[in-house]
Amino acid sequence: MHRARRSLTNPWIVLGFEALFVAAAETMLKIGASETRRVTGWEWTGLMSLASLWIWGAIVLIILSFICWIYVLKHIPLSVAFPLSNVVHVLVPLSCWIFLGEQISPRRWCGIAIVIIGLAIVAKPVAKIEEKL
Amino acid sequence: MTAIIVFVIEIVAAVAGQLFLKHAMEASTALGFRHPRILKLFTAGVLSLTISFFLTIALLQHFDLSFFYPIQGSTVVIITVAAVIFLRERLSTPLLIGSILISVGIVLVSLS
Repeated sequence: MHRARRSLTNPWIVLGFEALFVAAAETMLKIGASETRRVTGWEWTGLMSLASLWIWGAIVLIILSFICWIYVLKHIPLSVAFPLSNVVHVLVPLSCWIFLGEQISPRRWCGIAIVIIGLAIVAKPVAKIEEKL
Repeated sequence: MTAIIVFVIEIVAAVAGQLFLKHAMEASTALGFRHPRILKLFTAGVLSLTISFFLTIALLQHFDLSFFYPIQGSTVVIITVAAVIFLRERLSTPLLIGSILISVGIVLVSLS
Protein backbone atom coordinates (compact mmCIF):
# COMPACT_ATOMS: atom_id res chain seq x y z
CA MET A 1 0.00 0.00 0.00
CA HIS A 2 2.71 2.41 1.05
CA ARG A 3 4.82 1.41 -1.91
CA ALA A 4 1.86 1.80 -4.28
CA ARG A 5 1.21 5.29 -3.03
CA ARG A 6 4.85 6.22 -3.37
CA SER A 7 5.00 5.03 -6.97
CA LEU A 8 1.89 7.05 -7.83
CA THR A 9 3.68 10.22 -6.73
CA ASN A 10 6.83 9.30 -8.64
CA PRO A 11 6.89 11.81 -11.55
CA TRP A 12 8.54 9.28 -13.91
CA ILE A 13 5.70 6.83 -13.39
CA VAL A 14 3.15 9.64 -13.75
CA LEU A 15 4.84 10.53 -17.06
CA GLY A 16 4.30 6.93 -18.15
CA PHE A 17 0.61 7.19 -17.23
CA GLU A 18 0.37 10.47 -19.16
CA ALA A 19 1.62 8.75 -22.31
CA LEU A 20 -0.64 5.72 -21.76
CA PHE A 21 -3.69 7.98 -21.33
CA VAL A 22 -2.89 9.90 -24.51
CA ALA A 23 -2.37 6.70 -26.51
CA ALA A 24 -5.62 5.18 -25.17
CA ALA A 25 -7.48 8.43 -25.88
CA GLU A 26 -6.23 8.58 -29.49
CA THR A 27 -7.34 5.01 -30.07
CA MET A 28 -10.74 5.63 -28.51
CA LEU A 29 -11.18 8.83 -30.56
CA LYS A 30 -10.58 6.81 -33.72
CA ILE A 31 -13.13 4.15 -32.68
CA GLY A 32 -15.68 6.82 -31.71
CA ALA A 33 -15.12 8.82 -34.89
CA SER A 34 -15.60 5.74 -37.08
CA GLU A 35 -18.70 4.74 -35.15
CA THR A 36 -20.41 8.09 -35.69
CA ARG A 37 -19.29 8.55 -39.29
CA ARG A 38 -22.76 7.97 -40.67
CA VAL A 39 -24.63 10.31 -38.37
CA THR A 40 -25.56 13.24 -40.60
CA GLY A 41 -25.77 16.94 -39.92
CA TRP A 42 -22.87 19.18 -38.90
CA GLU A 43 -20.46 16.53 -40.19
CA TRP A 44 -17.46 18.81 -40.40
CA THR A 45 -17.65 20.23 -36.92
CA GLY A 46 -16.88 16.83 -35.41
CA LEU A 47 -19.54 17.54 -32.81
CA MET A 48 -21.72 14.61 -33.86
CA SER A 49 -19.02 12.29 -32.53
CA LEU A 50 -20.23 13.18 -29.02
CA ALA A 51 -22.98 10.60 -29.62
CA SER A 52 -20.36 7.94 -29.00
CA LEU A 53 -19.38 6.90 -25.48
CA TRP A 54 -15.84 6.22 -26.75
CA ILE A 55 -15.44 9.93 -27.42
CA TRP A 56 -16.51 10.82 -23.88
CA GLY A 57 -14.11 8.24 -22.49
CA ALA A 58 -11.34 9.77 -24.58
CA ILE A 59 -12.18 13.27 -23.32
CA VAL A 60 -11.87 12.05 -19.70
CA LEU A 61 -8.50 10.45 -20.51
CA ILE A 62 -7.26 13.65 -22.18
CA ILE A 63 -8.15 15.65 -19.07
CA LEU A 64 -6.38 13.06 -16.87
CA SER A 65 -3.32 13.17 -19.13
CA PHE A 66 -3.19 16.97 -18.81
CA ILE A 67 -3.32 16.74 -15.00
CA CYS A 68 -0.50 14.17 -15.10
CA TRP A 69 1.50 16.41 -17.44
CA ILE A 70 1.18 19.40 -15.09
CA TYR A 71 2.43 17.21 -12.22
CA VAL A 72 5.33 15.98 -14.34
CA LEU A 73 6.33 19.55 -15.25
CA LYS A 74 6.53 20.38 -11.58
CA HIS A 75 9.23 17.78 -11.03
CA ILE A 76 11.05 17.03 -14.31
CA PRO A 77 12.93 19.48 -16.59
CA LEU A 78 10.92 20.26 -19.74
CA SER A 79 13.92 19.41 -21.92
CA VAL A 80 13.77 15.83 -20.58
CA ALA A 81 10.02 15.38 -20.00
CA PHE A 82 8.89 16.55 -23.44
CA PRO A 83 11.12 14.23 -25.49
CA LEU A 84 10.13 11.32 -23.22
CA SER A 85 6.42 12.12 -23.59
CA ASN A 86 6.90 11.36 -27.29
CA VAL A 87 6.78 7.67 -26.41
CA VAL A 88 3.14 8.10 -27.57
CA HIS A 89 4.48 7.97 -31.13
CA VAL A 90 5.45 4.39 -30.34
CA LEU A 91 2.34 3.53 -28.30
CA VAL A 92 -0.25 4.89 -30.77
CA PRO A 93 0.89 2.89 -33.83
CA LEU A 94 1.22 -0.24 -31.64
CA SER A 95 -2.25 0.25 -30.20
CA CYS A 96 -3.70 0.80 -33.71
CA TRP A 97 -1.99 -2.39 -34.79
CA ILE A 98 -3.20 -4.45 -31.83
CA PHE A 99 -6.70 -3.06 -31.25
CA LEU A 100 -7.75 -1.61 -34.61
CA GLY A 101 -6.02 -4.08 -36.92
CA GLU A 102 -4.24 -1.32 -38.85
CA GLN A 103 -1.17 -2.29 -40.86
CA ILE A 104 2.33 -1.03 -40.00
CA SER A 105 4.65 -0.63 -43.00
CA PRO A 106 8.38 -1.53 -42.74
CA ARG A 107 9.23 2.18 -42.91
CA ARG A 108 6.93 2.85 -39.97
CA TRP A 109 8.54 0.00 -37.97
CA CYS A 110 11.92 1.68 -38.65
CA GLY A 111 10.52 4.99 -37.40
CA ILE A 112 9.20 3.32 -34.24
CA ALA A 113 12.61 1.71 -33.63
CA ILE A 114 14.42 5.04 -34.06
CA VAL A 115 12.03 6.78 -31.64
CA ILE A 116 12.70 4.01 -29.08
CA ILE A 117 16.49 4.42 -29.47
CA GLY A 118 16.11 8.21 -29.04
CA LEU A 119 13.98 7.68 -25.90
CA ALA A 120 16.57 5.30 -24.46
CA ILE A 121 19.37 7.83 -25.07
CA VAL A 122 17.38 10.62 -23.38
CA ALA A 123 16.38 8.37 -20.47
CA LYS A 124 19.80 6.84 -19.73
CA PRO A 125 21.48 9.79 -17.95
CA VAL A 126 18.24 10.25 -16.02
CA ALA A 127 18.32 6.65 -14.79
CA LYS A 128 21.84 7.27 -13.50
CA ILE A 129 20.76 10.34 -11.53
CA GLU A 130 17.86 8.36 -10.03
CA GLU A 131 20.20 5.59 -8.95
CA LYS A 132 22.34 8.04 -6.98
CA LEU A 133 19.32 9.38 -5.09
CA MET B 1 2.36 32.10 -47.85
CA THR B 2 -0.47 32.36 -45.32
CA ALA B 3 -0.02 28.67 -44.60
CA ILE B 4 3.65 29.15 -43.71
CA ILE B 5 2.78 31.99 -41.33
CA VAL B 6 0.06 29.87 -39.67
CA PHE B 7 2.57 27.02 -39.38
CA VAL B 8 5.12 29.24 -37.67
CA ILE B 9 2.53 30.70 -35.28
CA GLU B 10 1.26 27.20 -34.49
CA ILE B 11 4.73 25.94 -33.57
CA VAL B 12 5.63 29.09 -31.62
CA ALA B 13 2.35 28.86 -29.67
CA ALA B 14 2.93 25.16 -28.89
CA VAL B 15 6.49 25.81 -27.68
CA ALA B 16 5.55 28.96 -25.72
CA GLY B 17 2.63 27.09 -24.11
CA GLN B 18 4.91 24.37 -22.75
CA LEU B 19 7.47 26.93 -21.55
CA PHE B 20 4.77 28.95 -19.73
CA LEU B 21 3.33 25.82 -18.07
CA LYS B 22 6.75 24.59 -17.00
CA HIS B 23 7.70 28.00 -15.66
CA ALA B 24 4.39 28.23 -13.77
CA MET B 25 4.71 24.77 -12.21
CA GLU B 26 8.32 25.33 -11.21
CA ALA B 27 7.63 28.70 -9.59
CA SER B 28 4.51 27.31 -7.88
CA THR B 29 6.71 25.23 -5.57
CA ALA B 30 8.00 28.41 -3.97
CA LEU B 31 5.06 30.79 -4.35
CA GLY B 32 2.06 28.46 -4.09
CA PHE B 33 -0.38 27.79 -6.88
CA ARG B 34 -2.74 30.66 -6.08
CA HIS B 35 -0.12 33.35 -6.40
CA PRO B 36 -1.26 35.88 -9.08
CA ARG B 37 1.96 35.48 -11.05
CA ILE B 38 1.56 31.71 -11.20
CA LEU B 39 -2.06 32.00 -12.29
CA LYS B 40 -1.04 34.46 -15.03
CA LEU B 41 1.70 32.14 -16.29
CA PHE B 42 -0.61 29.13 -16.15
CA THR B 43 -3.38 30.96 -18.05
CA ALA B 44 -0.85 32.12 -20.65
CA GLY B 45 0.26 28.50 -21.06
CA VAL B 46 -3.25 27.10 -21.47
CA LEU B 47 -4.14 29.96 -23.85
CA SER B 48 -1.06 29.36 -26.03
CA LEU B 49 -1.78 25.63 -26.19
CA THR B 50 -5.41 26.37 -27.11
CA ILE B 51 -4.31 28.66 -29.95
CA SER B 52 -1.91 26.02 -31.24
CA PHE B 53 -4.69 23.38 -30.99
CA PHE B 54 -7.09 25.34 -33.20
CA LEU B 55 -4.37 26.37 -35.65
CA THR B 56 -3.48 22.67 -35.93
CA ILE B 57 -7.08 21.90 -36.85
CA ALA B 58 -7.09 24.75 -39.39
CA LEU B 59 -3.90 23.37 -40.94
CA LEU B 60 -5.37 19.87 -41.00
CA GLN B 61 -8.30 21.24 -42.99
CA HIS B 62 -5.87 22.36 -45.71
CA PHE B 63 -3.12 19.76 -45.70
CA ASP B 64 -2.77 16.00 -45.46
CA LEU B 65 -1.81 14.68 -42.06
CA SER B 66 1.13 12.89 -43.67
CA PHE B 67 2.52 16.23 -44.84
CA PHE B 68 1.78 18.08 -41.64
CA TYR B 69 2.71 15.54 -38.99
CA PRO B 70 6.45 15.25 -39.74
CA ILE B 71 6.81 18.97 -39.18
CA GLN B 72 5.15 18.45 -35.79
CA GLY B 73 7.93 16.00 -34.99
CA SER B 74 10.41 18.85 -35.09
CA THR B 75 8.79 20.40 -32.00
CA VAL B 76 10.69 17.84 -29.89
CA VAL B 77 14.04 19.41 -30.76
CA ILE B 78 12.64 22.96 -30.67
CA ILE B 79 11.15 22.53 -27.17
CA THR B 80 14.32 20.90 -25.83
CA VAL B 81 16.47 23.76 -27.15
CA ALA B 82 13.94 26.41 -26.03
CA ALA B 83 13.90 24.96 -22.50
CA VAL B 84 17.68 25.22 -22.41
CA ILE B 85 17.68 28.81 -23.68
CA PHE B 86 14.71 30.27 -21.81
CA LEU B 87 14.48 28.13 -18.67
CA ARG B 88 18.25 27.59 -18.37
CA GLU B 89 17.89 23.83 -18.23
CA ARG B 90 21.03 21.78 -18.74
CA LEU B 91 21.73 20.53 -22.24
CA SER B 92 23.76 17.35 -22.52
CA THR B 93 24.93 15.67 -25.71
CA PRO B 94 22.82 12.53 -25.10
CA LEU B 95 19.75 14.73 -24.60
CA LEU B 96 20.32 16.52 -27.91
CA ILE B 97 21.10 13.32 -29.84
CA GLY B 98 18.10 11.56 -28.28
CA SER B 99 15.73 14.42 -29.16
CA ILE B 100 16.98 14.51 -32.75
CA LEU B 101 16.51 10.73 -33.08
CA ILE B 102 12.96 10.98 -31.68
CA SER B 103 12.17 13.73 -34.23
CA VAL B 104 13.60 11.65 -37.10
CA GLY B 105 11.65 8.62 -35.89
CA ILE B 106 8.39 10.58 -35.78
CA VAL B 107 8.97 11.79 -39.35
CA LEU B 108 9.47 8.17 -40.48
CA VAL B 109 6.42 6.94 -38.55
CA SER B 110 4.19 9.56 -40.13
CA LEU B 111 5.57 9.37 -43.68
CA SER B 112 4.51 5.82 -44.40
